[in-house]
Amino acid sequence: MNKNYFFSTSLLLWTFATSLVYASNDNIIQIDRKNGEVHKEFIKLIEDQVAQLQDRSGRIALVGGSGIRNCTASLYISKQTTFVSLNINSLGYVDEFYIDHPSETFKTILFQNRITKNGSTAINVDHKDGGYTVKLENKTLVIQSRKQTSKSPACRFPFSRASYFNDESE
Amino acid sequence: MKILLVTLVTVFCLQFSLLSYASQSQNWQSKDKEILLEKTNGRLNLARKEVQNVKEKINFIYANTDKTRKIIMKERQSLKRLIISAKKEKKRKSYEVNTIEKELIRARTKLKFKLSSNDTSTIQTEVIEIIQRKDRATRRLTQAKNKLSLLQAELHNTTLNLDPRIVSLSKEARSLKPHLLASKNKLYQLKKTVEKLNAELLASENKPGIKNSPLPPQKTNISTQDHTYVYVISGSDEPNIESSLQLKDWVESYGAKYIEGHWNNLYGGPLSNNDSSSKQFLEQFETELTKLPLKSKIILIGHGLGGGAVIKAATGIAAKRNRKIDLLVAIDPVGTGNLRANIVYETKDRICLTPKGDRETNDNYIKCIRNAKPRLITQNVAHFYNRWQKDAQAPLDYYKELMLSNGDGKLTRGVTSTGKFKIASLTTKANQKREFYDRSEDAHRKILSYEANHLPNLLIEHLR
Repeated sequence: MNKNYFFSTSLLLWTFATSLVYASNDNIIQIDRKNGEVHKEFIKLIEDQVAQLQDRSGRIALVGGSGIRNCTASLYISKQTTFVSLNINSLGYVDEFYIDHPSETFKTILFQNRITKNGSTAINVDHKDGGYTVKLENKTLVIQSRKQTSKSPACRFPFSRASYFNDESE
Repeated sequence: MKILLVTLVTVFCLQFSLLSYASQSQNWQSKDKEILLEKTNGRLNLARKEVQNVKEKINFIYANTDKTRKIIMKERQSLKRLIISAKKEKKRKSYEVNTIEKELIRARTKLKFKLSSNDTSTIQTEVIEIIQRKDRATRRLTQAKNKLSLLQAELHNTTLNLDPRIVSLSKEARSLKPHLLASKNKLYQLKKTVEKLNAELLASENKPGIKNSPLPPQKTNISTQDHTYVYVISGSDEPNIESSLQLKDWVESYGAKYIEGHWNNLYGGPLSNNDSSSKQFLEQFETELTKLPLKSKIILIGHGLGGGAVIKAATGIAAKRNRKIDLLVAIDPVGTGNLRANIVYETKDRICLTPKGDRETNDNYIKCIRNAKPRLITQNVAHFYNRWQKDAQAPLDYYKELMLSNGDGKLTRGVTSTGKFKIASLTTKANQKREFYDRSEDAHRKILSYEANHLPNLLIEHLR
């Protein structure tokens, strides 16, 4: 009886504490379930980099890493959408996805949120069979993707190592 | 002189009567055809009703099957509960046996140590008692095991599809299927006859002798003015995309014409699989276009080389003749030399060559696409739907990236041709997307079967 009482009290306290932490640090805003809304949020996130592309469309090639692993990524930006290609050679991990697409159906999308925490902003999209998180931290883009069977490590791409290619698309 | 005059008059009268008889007989013939057409139309309606009836019957059986399945599922729930309790019982009994066995081992060891002393009789009786208990427990365990296996066998025998109620229903549905097929065949044959009769009547109406015939205006079911023409063009890797799309019957049910062809031959099979040129197809399409009524809707669907051919047909020939293309569907399109680059870019004068992995050809390929002008999807295309993949061959430049040599001897990477086309006008509704198949070797085919599910949604607005 005493054990149960202790367990339930501690659970209650933990929930209260975590909700306090979330309330103080995180700001989770749901992104509208409309085509192009996530893309708009993403472009806001990397506005300075997109401005470097002629006509604001083309490819941004990113080089970075996650711990000892090297990661490469390409962001193919157009007016309507952004296509992301993430490659971690040492793991044989390749994932390609659209940030969102004008003809996308929202049936498979569970959540799409913008999360601001301690000065960094992240976009998190969860699909039924995967998803991705793109986070901006001090001029570094952190990309993590999830597939049905696997998940990539969080790859960090400093913008200082980015290359820009105009007129290239997916 | 008189005789000559009489002969001339007779000959003239004979000729006149012969001519009038001929025209009269043609009139009779066309009247007969008209009656036949009416009769066939009646039979056609009857056949349609018959097909509808059989379909309704089959649907009713399917609905019944679903209901029965639900009932059986409920019944099986109680059986499953019994199995669970039997499993628990078996577990309990095996635990009991194990504990007794441990007890027995302990007693036997005790007996071993006490063998030297005289007081072993109590321990021996204890051991015998334990052995008897163990035997009883083992018997109970076997009983529990038997019960469980019996219940499991019962559950196995009553798998949904083996249940006699379901079996009888599916038998009934199966027995109706040949009937449905026969009715559908009959319907198809009658449709063909009606079409033939219509065509014959049209032809006879156009004959000069019949023009002024007293026949009433022709009653045709098919309007030759506002048809929708759907051209489905296969490429070399998948020579019959209709087998994946399965659209013919559905499209024709809307009264649209469904024309199947290949990238190098609009009518019939491919001329040669090695030739990626679609010159002949384009010539045939141009002739075809002149025959189509101006008000007709044109839909072009192509896969692989067929996709490339329909893009060229829409943006080249139809644009030149100022003909509207209502819907242009390109599924993983490729151009000359089976290269994506040669369809996404205008490479008429200097076609791009296949990157073979060595630095020089890779460099040339990248230079080729960088210097080429993108092909525009012209204003005459009202709706452009494009899907492509970079996971597997069909386009020989399917690779995502190519290794290139830098001037300093260092290696760099270059991105291969995109599958996205530039759209000339904002009035064109464009939907372009790259699909991912996680490096599947069959991606070129997979994209086709995936799009087969989406195409009816696209086509329906143009067919209705």
